[in-house]
Amino acid sequence: MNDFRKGVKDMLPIITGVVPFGLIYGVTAANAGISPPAALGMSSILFAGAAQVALAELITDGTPVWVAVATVVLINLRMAMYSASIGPHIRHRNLLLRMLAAYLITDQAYAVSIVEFSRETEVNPFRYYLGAAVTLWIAWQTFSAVGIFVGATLPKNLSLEFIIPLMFLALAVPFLRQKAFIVTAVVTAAVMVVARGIPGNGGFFLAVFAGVFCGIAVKRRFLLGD
Amino acid sequence: METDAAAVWLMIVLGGVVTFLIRFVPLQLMGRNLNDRTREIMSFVPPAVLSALVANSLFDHGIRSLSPHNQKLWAALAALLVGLRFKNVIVTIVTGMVCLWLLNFLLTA
Repeated sequence: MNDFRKGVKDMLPIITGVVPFGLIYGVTAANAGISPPAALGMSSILFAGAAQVALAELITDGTPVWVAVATVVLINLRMAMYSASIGPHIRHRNLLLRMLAAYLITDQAYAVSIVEFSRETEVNPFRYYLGAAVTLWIAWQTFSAVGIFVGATLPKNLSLEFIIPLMFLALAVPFLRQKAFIVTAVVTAAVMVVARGIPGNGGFFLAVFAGVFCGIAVKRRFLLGD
Repeated sequence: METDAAAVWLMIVLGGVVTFLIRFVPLQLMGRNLNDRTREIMSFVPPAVLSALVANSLFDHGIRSLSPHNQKLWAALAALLVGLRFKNVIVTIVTGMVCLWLLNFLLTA
C-alpha cells in the first residue's frame, strides 16, 4: 500500500498542469454544444486530454464520424509506445488488472512511473503505477467536470495554458542526465518544429522516430569509442 | 452544422474502443520478458515523446517561432535550467509561469 501512496505523492505536483488542461477541455466541449452527459462520458470513456479537445473541436465543425475516430486514433497512437513500455513491468498481474492499467495510460502516468521504474528501486511497479494513474484519473474527471459545468473561460492574460507544456518539461527533466537522452530530446524537438505541419500528427511520429534513432546511435558510438 | 447527439455518442464510444485497444494490445503483446535490445530502444521513447510535446506547444508557428520575441521560449528555458538544478516539478512549473508573466509585464507595460 505504501508503494501506491508513493505513486499518489509523485503525481500530485503534475496535477497543477492537469487543472488548466481539464478546464480547457470542459470549456471547449461546452462551447461545442456537447451535452454535459456526453462531455463527461468522453472524459471517462476516452480519458485522453489532447484527443478530447480535438474531438470537441471536430464536433463543432460537423465532421463525419469516421474522420473524428481516425483523428482520435492518430492522436492517441503514442500511447501504444507507452503501453509496450509498461507491459513488462506489470506482466505478473491478471487480465482484469492489466486491462485497468491499460485504460489508465496517459502521458503523465507513464512519464512519472517510467522514471521510478528505471531507478530499479524496491518499489512494486504495479502499485506505484496505479497510485499515480488513479490520482491523475480523479483529477482529470474533476477538472473537466468543473470546466463543463462552470464553463468559465480561463483568464486570457494569465496564459494558464502555458502550464501544460511546463508540466511535460518538468516530466522530461529527470531524463536529461544521460548524453544519449539529451541527444534524443534535442533531435526530437528540432524535427518536431520543422515537421509539425505534416497532417495526421505525422510530424510527431517522425520526430519521435528520429530522436530515438539518433539517441541510440550516439549511445552505441560512445560505447565503442572509449 | 453541428453534429447530432447520436453521432457524438457514436464518436465517443468508437473512439473509446480504439483508444482502449491502442492502450491494451501492445501491453498484452509485450507482457513477456523483453530482450535487452528492445528494452534499450523503449527506454528512449519517453524523453523523445515529452520533448516532442514541449516543442509542439513552444513553436506554435513552426520554425518561425524561433525568435527572441517568443516569450514562451525564454520562460521554458528558465524553467528547464531551474528544473535541472532543483529537480522539483512544482519549482520548475512555477519558474516558467513567473518568467512568462514577468516578460509579458515588462514588454507590454
